[in-house]
Amino acid sequence: MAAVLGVRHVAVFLCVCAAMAPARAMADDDPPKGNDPPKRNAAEFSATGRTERPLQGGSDLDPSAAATVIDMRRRVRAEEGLDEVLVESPGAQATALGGVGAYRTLSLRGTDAEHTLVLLGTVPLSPVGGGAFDLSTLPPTLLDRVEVYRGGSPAWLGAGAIGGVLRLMPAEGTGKRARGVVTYGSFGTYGARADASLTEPNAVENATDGGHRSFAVAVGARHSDGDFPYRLDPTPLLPGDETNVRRTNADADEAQGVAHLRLPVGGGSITFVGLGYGRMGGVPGPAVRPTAEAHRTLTRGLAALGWERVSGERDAGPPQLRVAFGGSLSVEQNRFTDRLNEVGLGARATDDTGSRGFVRAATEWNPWRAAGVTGVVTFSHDAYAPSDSLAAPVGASRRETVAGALEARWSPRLGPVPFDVRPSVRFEGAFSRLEEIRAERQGEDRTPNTFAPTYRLAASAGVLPWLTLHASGASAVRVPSMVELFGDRGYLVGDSRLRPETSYTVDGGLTAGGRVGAADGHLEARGFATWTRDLIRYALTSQFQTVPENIARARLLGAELEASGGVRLGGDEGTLRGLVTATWLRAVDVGLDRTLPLRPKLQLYARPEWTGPGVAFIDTVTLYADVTHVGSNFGDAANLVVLQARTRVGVGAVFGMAKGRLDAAFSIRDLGDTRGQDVLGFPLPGRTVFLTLTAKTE
Amino acid sequence: MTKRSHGDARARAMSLLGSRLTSVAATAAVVLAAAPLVGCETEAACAPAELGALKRAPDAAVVTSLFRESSAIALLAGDHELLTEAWLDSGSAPAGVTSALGGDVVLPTVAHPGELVLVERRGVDLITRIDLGTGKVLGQHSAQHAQAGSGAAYRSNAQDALRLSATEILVSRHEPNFDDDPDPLDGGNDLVRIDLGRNEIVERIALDHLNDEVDGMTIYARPSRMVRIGTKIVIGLARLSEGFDVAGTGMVAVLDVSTRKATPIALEGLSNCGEVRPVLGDDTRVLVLCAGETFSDADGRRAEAGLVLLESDGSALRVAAVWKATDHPTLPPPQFGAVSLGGARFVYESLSIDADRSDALVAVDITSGEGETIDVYPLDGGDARLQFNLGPGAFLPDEDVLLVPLATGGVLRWKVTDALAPSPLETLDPSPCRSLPAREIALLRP
Repeated sequence: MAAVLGVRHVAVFLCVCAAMAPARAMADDDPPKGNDPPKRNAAEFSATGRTERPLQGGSDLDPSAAATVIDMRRRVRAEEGLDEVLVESPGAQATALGGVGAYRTLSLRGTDAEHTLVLLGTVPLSPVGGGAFDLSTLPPTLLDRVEVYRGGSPAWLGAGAIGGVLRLMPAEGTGKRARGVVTYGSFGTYGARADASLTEPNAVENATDGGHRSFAVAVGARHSDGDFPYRLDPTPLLPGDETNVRRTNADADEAQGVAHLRLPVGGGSITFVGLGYGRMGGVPGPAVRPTAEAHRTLTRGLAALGWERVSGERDAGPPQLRVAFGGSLSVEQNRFTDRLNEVGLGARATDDTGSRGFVRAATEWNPWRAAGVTGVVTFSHDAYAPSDSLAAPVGASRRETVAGALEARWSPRLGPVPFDVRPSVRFEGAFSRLEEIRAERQGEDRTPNTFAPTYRLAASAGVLPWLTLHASGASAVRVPSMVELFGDRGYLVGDSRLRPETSYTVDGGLTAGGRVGAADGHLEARGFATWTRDLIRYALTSQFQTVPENIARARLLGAELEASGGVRLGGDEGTLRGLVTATWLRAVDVGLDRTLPLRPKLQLYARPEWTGPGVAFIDTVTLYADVTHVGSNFGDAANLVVLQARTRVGVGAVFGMAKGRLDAAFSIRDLGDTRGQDVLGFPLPGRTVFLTLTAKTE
Repeated sequence: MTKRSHGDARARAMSLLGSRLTSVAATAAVVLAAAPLVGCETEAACAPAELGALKRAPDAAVVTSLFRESSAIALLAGDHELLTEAWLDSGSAPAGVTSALGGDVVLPTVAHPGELVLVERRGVDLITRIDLGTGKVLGQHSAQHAQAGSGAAYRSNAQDALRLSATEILVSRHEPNFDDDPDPLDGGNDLVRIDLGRNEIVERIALDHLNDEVDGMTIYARPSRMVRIGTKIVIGLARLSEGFDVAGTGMVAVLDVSTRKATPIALEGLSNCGEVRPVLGDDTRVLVLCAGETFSDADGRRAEAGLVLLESDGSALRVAAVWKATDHPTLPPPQFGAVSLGGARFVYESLSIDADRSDALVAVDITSGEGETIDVYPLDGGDARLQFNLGPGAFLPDEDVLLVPLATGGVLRWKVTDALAPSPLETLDPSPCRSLPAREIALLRP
C-alpha cells in the first residue's frame, strides 16, 4: 500500500509538472535525425561520450551531477540571448546591465559570476586572466548545445569551479544544409547571419574508423542602437518629478563566426574549432548619470584542436578506453576609451591584450563495466598586458596554471538497483607574476603562488527505473583573477591583496523521468548548501565602479526544481510541451549577518509551448509563452536598498513554411513593459519585439 | 531453486526499499516544490528610516556608510544621546535607477541653520536639504546644469555646499569638464551658485586660472571645502592631476563674495590643500590642511603635508602660522579630518593607504609646535584605500567633547581638557541595528 501511495504521490506531482509542460530538449532521448552524427564517436567538442545511461540524470558524463542540457539545434526563437536560454536551468541566475550588447553574466546557486567556469567543449572560455565570462559575447546561434553543471561537475571536464560549469558546444556539421537568417527588432536592432554544414554521406555507417567527416561554419553580424526608454528620477526624495528618457551611448555593433571541422584520424577523430568575435560600442554608464562618449572595443579569437579515440566499446556501459588530447590558443584585445572621464576616476584610453595557451590530456579507463578511472591534466599559460596611453606604462603579468583530476567510478548493481559512486580529487596550482597597475603601488610586482587540492564524492542510486536519487559533497577553490587583482580601470577596480576563495558544498535530490503513452516527463529536484570562505564579492562604489573584496564567509542554502514534459495530442493536433524551473535561495553574508546582495530568494520560469499543423501556406506553427519571475532582492550589502520583484511575460510564434525551407519567428519580450533592473542603476529594456526570417535548404 | 528464492527475496527487499524511498522522494519533492513559496520576499533587518519630527533638536549628524552602495544619517543630541541611527538612509524611498541616498555622502564644512544638508558626490552630485524640525525635504539640487538624458555626461563631483543667503548656496565642483563644447554652466573645476527657489544653477565661477602644471601635465584647481570669513570665502584647492596621482603646489583660493573674484594664496612647500576648517570661536581665522601627494606612502606624503592658519585683517587674508609635517618626524603626517579645539589647538587624522599600517589621531598646537599621537587604529584586513578607518569628526564646545568616527568602532568620544591630548570617554555605537561604519560627524549648528 505504501508503494502504491508513493507512486501516486509522484505520479500526481509529475502530472502537475507535465501539465505546466516543459520545452526541455531531451536530446539524449530523441532518436537520431537525418544525418545527425553518431554520439559514440564524439570527440572533444561533441555533445556526449557515453552509450548507456543506466541512471536518470542530467548528464551522460556523470549521472550524479546536477546538470541541465539544452539542445540548441532545433530551437527557433527570435533573437535570443544566451542569458535567456540559461533561465531554463534551475539554480542559474543571469544578470544583465542593459539591452543588446550589454554585459551579462551567469551565477549558479547564488555564487558569484566568477564562480562559473565557462568552457567551449573542454577549452576555458573565460576571459584571459580570469573573471566572469560575458554571456553577450557568444550568441547561442553558434551553439549546438548548452550544458549547465551546478555545483560539482564531471571529472572529464577537469574543472573545479565553486558555482559550477557552463559548457557550450559549438555548432558542428549535421547533414548538407545552408541557412540564412535576418532579424529586425526594437531599439534599432537588426542583423543577419548565415550558416552551412557539410557531412559526408552515410556518416553513421562510415563511422567505424573512429569518426566521420563534417564541416560547419556560421557567421553573423548585428547592430543595436540600444536606446530603450527608462524611468529617471534623479531626486528620489522628491516624488513626482520622474521623467522618461532613453538610454544613450548604448549602441553596439558585433560580428562573430565559428567553424567546426571533424576528420577521422588514427582510429579516432580530430576536431578543429575556430571562434571569432568582435564588438564595438558605447559604454552607457549608470542610468542616473549616463555617458556620452565612453567606448569599448572587444576582439576575441580562439582556435582549438583536439583528438579523441574511443576503443573497446560495449553494448552497455562505458567503453574500455577513451583518450583525448587537445590544445587551444586564444587571444583577446580589450580597448576602453573614456576621454571625458565619464566612468572611472580620470580619463582612460586602455588597450589591454591577453592570450592563453591551453593543453589538456584526458583518459577514461574502464577495465570493468562496473568500475573505472578517469584522469585529466591541464596546463594553461595566461599573459596579460595592460596599456593606457593616458597613464604611466605598466608591465605585463602572466600566470601558469596546472590542474589535474583523478576520479574513480564504481557502478555496482545491487539487485535491480544500479548505483554509481564517484570519489575524485583535484589539484590546481597557479603561479603568477603580477605587476601592480595601481598608482600608489606602481613598480611593485608580486608573485603569488597557490596550490589548492580539492575533492568530490558523488553517488547516485536508481531506486526505480524512472527514479534516481543523488547526493554529493565537494570542495572547490578559485584563485583571484587578474581582473580582480588589477581591475580594468573602468568599472572594475582591482585589489592585489585578494586571497583565494574556498568552498564546501553538499547537495542531494532526485531525478525522475519516463514516458507513458504519448506523454513524457522529466523532473529534477535538489537541495544544496554551500559554505564559502574569503568569498570575493564585487561591491558597487560611490563612483559606480565595482570593487572586489574578500568577505569573511558566506552561506548559501537553496532548493532547485526543474520539471519538463510533453504530450502528443490526439489526431493531428500537435504536441504540447512545457518547462518549469524554480530556485529558492538563502544567501547570507555571515560576516555582516546580512543577505548577500543581488540574490533573489525566488526565481521562477515557466514556458508552455504548442507545436501543431498550420493553415493555408503555413505548414507548422509553434506558439509559446514564457514567464520569468525574479523575486525582490537587496541591491546593497547593508540590505537597505530593495530591488523590487518583477514578473516578465513574453510570447512568441514560429511559422514553418515552404516545406521547411522558410521560418518566420516573432517574439515579444516583457509584454507588460515591466522593465526593472538586475543591478541598481542599470535599467533593463522593457517591451521588446523581434522578427526573424530564416531561409534554409537541405 | 535456492538461488531463485534468494533472488526473489532480495528483489522483494529492494522493491520494499524502493517503495519507501519513493515515498520519501515524493515527500521531498513536494517539500522542495513548496519551499520557494515560503518567505520569498526580502526582509528588512531594521526599522525603516522615515524622515519625521524628532523628540529633541539634534546637535550633530553622523554619516554611517559602507562607502559603496548605501548609507544612513544618524543624529545625536549632545555628545552621547543617539536620537536615531537612521533619520534617512538609502532605503528611505523606493529604489529607481538610484537609491534614496548613495554611498558617498558628506556633510557641509559649515552647518546650514535649521537644516540637514547632504552632499552626494561623484556619480550622484546632488545636494539634499531637509528641515531639522519637521523632517520635510526642502529640496534636492543637482550640481550639474545639464541633466541626465540631455546627452551631456559631465559629473561634477560636488564636494561642499556653503550657504550664501537664505535663497542661495555655493557648491564646489571638483571635476573639470573635458567636453570640447560643454554647457556654459558646466565647465567644471569651479564654484556654482544655486538658486534654491528656482532650483537651478544661476552662476558659474571658474577657477581654471588657479590650475598648475607639472612636467607638462595640467594640474586642476579642484576646489573642495569652503569656509566663510566676513565677505571672503576661503576655498581649499586640492590641485591634483586628472588621475589624482600628481599634485601641484599648495594653494587656497579666496573668493570675494561681492565681486565673485577668486584670488590665490600660495602655500609654499605644501600640496593637496583641499581641506579648510573654521577655527572655534574665531571669525577671523581659518585652518588649512595640506595632505601631500595623494597616493604616496606616509613618508612620501609627509614631504608636503602640513597645517596652515590663515588670518583675516578685515580686507585680506594672510598666513598666520605654518606647521609642517617634515618638522615633526615623530608624528604621523596630516591627511584630513582637522578639527579645531579652540585657540591654536587642533586634531587631525593620518590615514594610511597601506593595509599593514594604521590610521592615527593626532593633537597639535600649531603655534607652539607641540604634538601628540592620541591613538592609532589598525585596519583589520579591509580595503584600506577605499575604506578609511577614521573619518572627519566634530567638537561640541558646550560639552567639551570631541567626536571622531571610527569605521571599525563607532563614534569615539574624547573629553577635551587643558592637556594637549584629550581624555577618552565611552564609545558610542551610532548604528546598532544597521551596523554601518561611522564615516563623518558634523555639527548641525553653524
